[in-house]
This record gives sequence, structure tokens and C-alpha cells, in this order.
Amino acid sequence: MSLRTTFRILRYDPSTDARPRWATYTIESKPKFSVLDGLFAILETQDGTLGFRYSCRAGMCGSCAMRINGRENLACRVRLENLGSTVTVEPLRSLPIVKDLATDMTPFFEKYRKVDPFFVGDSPSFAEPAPEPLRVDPSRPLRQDANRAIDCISCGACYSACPTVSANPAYLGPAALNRAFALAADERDRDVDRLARVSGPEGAYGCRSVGNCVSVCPAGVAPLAAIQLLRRGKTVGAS
Amino acid sequence: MRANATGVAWWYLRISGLLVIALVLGHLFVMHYANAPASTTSAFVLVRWSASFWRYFDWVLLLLALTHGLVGMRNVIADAVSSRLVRRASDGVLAILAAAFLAIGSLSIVNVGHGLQTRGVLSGAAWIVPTLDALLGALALVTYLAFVAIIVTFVARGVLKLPIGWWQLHGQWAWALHRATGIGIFFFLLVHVLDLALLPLAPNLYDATVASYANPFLMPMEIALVGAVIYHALNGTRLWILEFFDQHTSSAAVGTFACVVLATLVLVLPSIFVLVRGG
Repeated sequence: MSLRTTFRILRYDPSTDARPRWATYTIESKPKFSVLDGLFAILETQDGTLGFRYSCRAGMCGSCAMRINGRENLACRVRLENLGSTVTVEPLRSLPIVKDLATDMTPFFEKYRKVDPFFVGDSPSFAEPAPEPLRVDPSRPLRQDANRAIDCISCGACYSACPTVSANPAYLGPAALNRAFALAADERDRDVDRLARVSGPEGAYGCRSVGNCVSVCPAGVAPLAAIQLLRRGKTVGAS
Repeated sequence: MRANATGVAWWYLRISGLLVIALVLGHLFVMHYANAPASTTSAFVLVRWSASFWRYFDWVLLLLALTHGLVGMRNVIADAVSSRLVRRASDGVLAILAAAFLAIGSLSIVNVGHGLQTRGVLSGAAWIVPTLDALLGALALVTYLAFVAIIVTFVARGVLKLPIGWWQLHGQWAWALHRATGIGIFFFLLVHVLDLALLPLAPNLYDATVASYANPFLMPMEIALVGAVIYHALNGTRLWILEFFDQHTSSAAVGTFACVVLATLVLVLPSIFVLVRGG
């Protein structure tokens, strides 16, 4: 059985358009069609100029994050049959638009880089034998908090939904702070500067505890919980 | 994580908020539930402040509410203004404002504690009551316009079939209401301290100002103010539970927000009855 769905898409090409405009398309969708499938149907049959980003189509890469009926989500994971006959699709907020639904993630990843988003281990020494690996108890509460934080797929949904990011462009945002916590809660990490980098007004104390990041995260991560653990000093290791 | 100035401000907001909750709810009960606001005349305050317990109670409430409001307003301005210079300047203005109003309120409590004269040095100043009435009227007008703006915005988006964006998320409402009620309470507190300053300076004018609370134009604002204080206190408690008892799950946040809204609506009802009956 096919379903008629009308897409209202906020379209914008910075090279030609003065401002964003709404465009409407109607498609015949099939059962289990996702919003991403709908966008492909429009691209292939009605308007080949529609711009959007995707990659895995399985909810793992985070490339197709956008606002669907006003709420951030992954286009590949949202089924049209759950949305009603009209679906509104907009690009992520607080990021420059490359074209239509594809946003430039540069500001997001620049802030991500500011928290040293990589693991810093003990410096290897060839002169001495390798030390015993550190034993990490997986049942420790802090380890479990860190486990939840590392599920982030960096899609930018939380960044778009955060009113603090929108109000204060210098604020690092939920994803970067969540990543900082995941590493600061790791007993093996040796980055001594990371916590200092996230303690300023642009860091964890800049968060206004709105909680939109928790509501919209398609991976089930709770960035606000990670930020709160940073503020309460619930971290371990050299940092 | 080492707390810098922003961190200290964040912790102060949480701790002062927790301390002020019991005091402000007690104050609200006495002024809006046990008595109608229009009946809290200079004679009422004189009896109340003749007990040192109530003098200390109200002074600590004033101190915590003003400083909590100061830090809260600092956050509001920081989110609205990008210029570092303007932020610094506004920090200075807020600090001076809080210190001045703390001094005015403290002097009033100390002086009234020593007893009241029938007339004070400003008893003949005819401009004071209209000025304070105008300030309360302006506060009421802004409150009503804000309500109208919210309704018009959502009706317009509904008519134009535009998504309401992050306003479909409970957290956005919880935060926006917390902020709006905080701003409203802060400005009312400033006007309230000004009318308290009249107690030793012009008790007759204080009574005239208090009588204004029976003005029908101001009554909806007074009800909104009671609701604002209750909501701000309950949502502050909710934030404490979420933040310090590791309850940052979406379902816990939604459930507690629903409880806060429901409890606010239920608790406001008796104050409406007292206000309307007491005039």
C-alpha cells in the first residue's frame, strides 16, 4: 500500500539565493520508507538539485542529521508512516548551510578539536619494557557513565538543538563536552590539559541545563549528564 | 574540574537557590495565602518585624534572592550580548544595583525594627505613589504582552503550518519558563524593595502603595507572580534532583517537568481565591 506524503523542505543555495525558501514536493511512499528514502525519491523523480548528506543509511554514521518536523533526528531512522501526511524538513541549526539540508560541520568539529578528543596514553619507551596494562573494572559507576558517553556518533543533532550554542557561538556545545567527559573519566588517559580547556564560560559551566541534547540524541547519549559530571568533578586520571 | 569565576557563579546559583526555596515559599505563604497582599499594611509589617525572627528571616531572604537574581541576570545578559565590554559593564551595573537594593532593604528592616512614626520625612512627596504604581503597571503590561506574544506566535505558526522547532521539547519550555519567571521575579523584587523603603520614610505612602495591589489591572500580574515564584522554586528543585542525583534521562526530565507544571497550577489556585476575596 502506498502512502501520499507532502514534503516541505527549507531550501537554500548560498551562491544563488538571497534567503532560504520553502519548497513543496509530494511523493508516493512505500511501507517502511524513511525520510531519507523520501528525499531520494524527490531527488530522483522531481528535483535533481536537492542537496542533502548521507552515508551509511543505517543510523550509525550521523551524516543525515537534520530537523524533521522541527526536531533533530537522523533522516535514515525516521519512518514516514510515523509522521503524518506533511513532513517539514530543515537543515541543522547553528551551522552554515552548504546547500539545502547539507550543513558545514566545520564549527562543530573545530570545537570538538578544542577538547583534545583523542585518547592520550603513556608515552611508549623502547628502552624499558612495557608496563602491565591498567586493569579497568567495567562495573565501576564512572566507567559505565563513560561507556554511555562514548556512544556519540558526532551527528550534530545536540549541537543544533542547544539554545546555548545558538545564543553563544563560543560555547563548545554538548557533543564536545560529552567527548571531554568520556576521556576524563578514563583511568588510562594522560591528557593533563583537557579539564582546563572545558572549565571556562565556553565550557561545562556555560551549559544552561536545558536538556534538549538528551531529548534529541539519536544514539541515546545524555550529553547533559556528562556535562554535569564534569561540573561536579566526577572524573579520574591525571587530568 | 577547577571552578573558575564562571564555575563559582554556577555553584553559587545552585546553593543560594536551594537555600532560598524554603524562605521564599514561607514568605509567599504569609503574604499571599494567609493574608491578601492588599492587607499587608505598615501596621501589619510593624507587628511582623517586631519579632527578630521575621527580621532575620526577611533579611536573609532579601540577601539570597538579590544575589541569586544578580547571578541569574548575569547569565541572561551573557546569553543575549556577545560584546565582552558590554557584558563587563552590565556585570558592574548589576553588582551596584544589588548592593544598593540590599542596603535600602536592610535599612528599612533595621529602622522598622525600632518602631514606626505616623509620618516620615517623605510623607508629603506626592509623586512617589504614582511612580511606584507606574512601575508595577509597567511590569504588569510587560507580563501581559509576553503572554499575548507567546499565544500569537504559536497560533501564527499553526496557521502557517510551520514546525515549532525546539518548543516541542520539554527542556526548552522548562528553561524558558525558568528564565522568564526569574527575570520577572528579579524586577518585581527591585520594585518591592523600593516600596519597603517607604516604611520608615513615609508609612502613609507605603499603605497607599500596598492598596494598589487591589487594582484589577495588577491582579492578573500578581497571580502570575505567585505562579512565577512557585514555578521557579519547584523547577530549581527539579534541576537539583536531575543534576545531583544523576537523573539526566529523558523520561525523568519529562516526568519531573510535568509534575512541576501541575504542582504550580494547583498551588496557585488558593492564592487566586485569597487575592480576589481580599481585594
